[in-house]
Amino acid sequence: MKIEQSNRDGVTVIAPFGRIDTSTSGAVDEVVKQAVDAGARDLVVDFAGVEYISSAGLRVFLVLAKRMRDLKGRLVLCGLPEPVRQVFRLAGFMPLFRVEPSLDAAVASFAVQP
Amino acid sequence: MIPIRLRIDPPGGPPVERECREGSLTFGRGADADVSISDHSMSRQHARIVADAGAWMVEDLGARNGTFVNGLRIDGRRPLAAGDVVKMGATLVHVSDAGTERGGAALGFGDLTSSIFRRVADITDDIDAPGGAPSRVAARLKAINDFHRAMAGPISLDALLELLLERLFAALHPEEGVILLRQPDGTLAPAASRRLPGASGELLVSRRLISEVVDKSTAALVSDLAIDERFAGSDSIIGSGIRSILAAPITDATGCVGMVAIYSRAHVRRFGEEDMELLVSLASAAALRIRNVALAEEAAERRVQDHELALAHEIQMAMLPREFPQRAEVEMGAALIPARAVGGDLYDFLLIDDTLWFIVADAAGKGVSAALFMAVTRTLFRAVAGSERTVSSVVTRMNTELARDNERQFFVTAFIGCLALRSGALAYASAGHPPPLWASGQGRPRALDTVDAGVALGILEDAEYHEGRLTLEAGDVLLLYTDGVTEAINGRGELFSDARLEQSFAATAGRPVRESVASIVDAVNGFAAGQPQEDDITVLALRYRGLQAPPM
Repeated sequence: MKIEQSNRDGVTVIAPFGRIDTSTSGAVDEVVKQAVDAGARDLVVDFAGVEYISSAGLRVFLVLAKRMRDLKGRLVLCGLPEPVRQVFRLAGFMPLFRVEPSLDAAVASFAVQP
Repeated sequence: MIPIRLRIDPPGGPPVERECREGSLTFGRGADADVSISDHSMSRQHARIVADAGAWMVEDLGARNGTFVNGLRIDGRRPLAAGDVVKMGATLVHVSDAGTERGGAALGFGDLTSSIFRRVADITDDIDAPGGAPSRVAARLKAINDFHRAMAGPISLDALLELLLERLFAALHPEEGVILLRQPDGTLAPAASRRLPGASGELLVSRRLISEVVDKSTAALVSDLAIDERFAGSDSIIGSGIRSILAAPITDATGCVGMVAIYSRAHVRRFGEEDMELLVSLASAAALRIRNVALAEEAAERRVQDHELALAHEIQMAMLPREFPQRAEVEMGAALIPARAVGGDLYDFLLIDDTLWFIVADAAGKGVSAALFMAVTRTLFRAVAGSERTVSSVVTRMNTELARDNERQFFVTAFIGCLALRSGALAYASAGHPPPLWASGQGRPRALDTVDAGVALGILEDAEYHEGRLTLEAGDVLLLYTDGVTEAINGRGELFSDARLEQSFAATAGRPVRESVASIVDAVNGFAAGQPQEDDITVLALRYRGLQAPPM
């Protein structure tokens, strides 16, 4: 699966594309893990290109959120298309994440929020 | 000069006859003796027979075990006559006149540069002289011979690789050897290695060497690493102290499946071109067999796994209720179809007096990890539902238990209901689970109100869960399901969706709930039309029939 990684104003941006399910969640997990291992503490996951996320996909971000809390890092999700937002909401996970509508808003949020 | 006939009788081998007319002939165990004999009680240069001033003499060359003529040990030289028997080690040499009764060609010693009187097995066993050219040839032959012979029988992959290394060590005397094989993920990993006792340092698997050998599919002979341009600047391999390398690709019809490499740290020019030919020959002999053996082992392993999974499937299916409660107030039906042999979906119920507890749950992911989490969830449900009074406290307790030490963040979504059979009063709570459909009277089915739904179980240890309430009328049907139903996907990438589920459900209104369940499963299967099932599918339907007249 295609997963883009970039850096904007010191913020690491990871953007997966397509379906995040049992067969692809491992690849996403690997990329976010490596980014955090490499020292990323301000992290944005951009969901604008994600069509679908399964429960296995959700787990990747729960693990990531837990790890970022432990490391005192900051994680923001952005660009969630409605079907993806629906899955997060249904599982009751929305309150566990900081969510911004767009990538710009997500990157900007690091400047103002602690 | 009177010619003599020698009948040479080595231990364990057939005797050989030679007729001699002039010159000198040395005997010994060494490959450089004129008559080289595989006799371990002989010295390398044991004795010689020489024509001297018209007489035949035998001369001991300082042999450790001495040279005997007619049973007497000689010191230096002694004349020989017909009828004498010379004993060198365990080898006897009978001397006779080269009479007319035995014609045939008589050979002068000058024609006999190196006669090797040995059985094949002795030749190939005697490889104690790594420097000696003939013994290296013999060792190579033995390596090829042994290897092919061993491969003719049944052999495991590990044994095959061990044998390859063992034969290479015996023939080529490296200090270290390693075999890399391509793994299912495409990378090369060490599958076997061997080193002489006392060899130290890391076992070297150089990327540069792999790129030379595997990527280019060529054998490599590095006589002196320090001056080989191919490895200039390759610090890891230079720094390893290795001086000589011999490596060959393991190539079969599908391409390069691995590499075998042997090293010497102690010697430059340890290996020669003939050694390379040997290595290539053994590597290609091994290649086809490696693939066949690997395929067979994989197949055997898969059979074991399949068997284990089949057992796991049976165990998991046995956890599902086989019968629904025999109560006149309710009618139930359910189906659970795992996407793999085992899955993370679950339904269960518990009848306590006049109260029916029921659950539909979906552990994240699929396969074995999900199945284990599902089994824990079921056990918790059974333990907690019997002891807690309210739905919200049941869900809260289950969550606390599942969230404890849940480093890997496994979670399970669940819908749990508690129905008072005599009144139809239903209390329910959702932990991140899709809301069930509720069909009441003649109206269209609608999703149960779960606005207060809590987070999926297992994530937040102190999460709170609220419960919803409603009262079922006689004839009302609840349809519980997991997202494997609504997210079933067809060939065009479309989801089965809430809308199609609602439609299928509505279409079976008034029919027995078992039929509703079956027809919904059929609708999902028909929609997916052979597309691989992505997730476990569970459907549970419950009709409340109201307070029935007690049986007579």
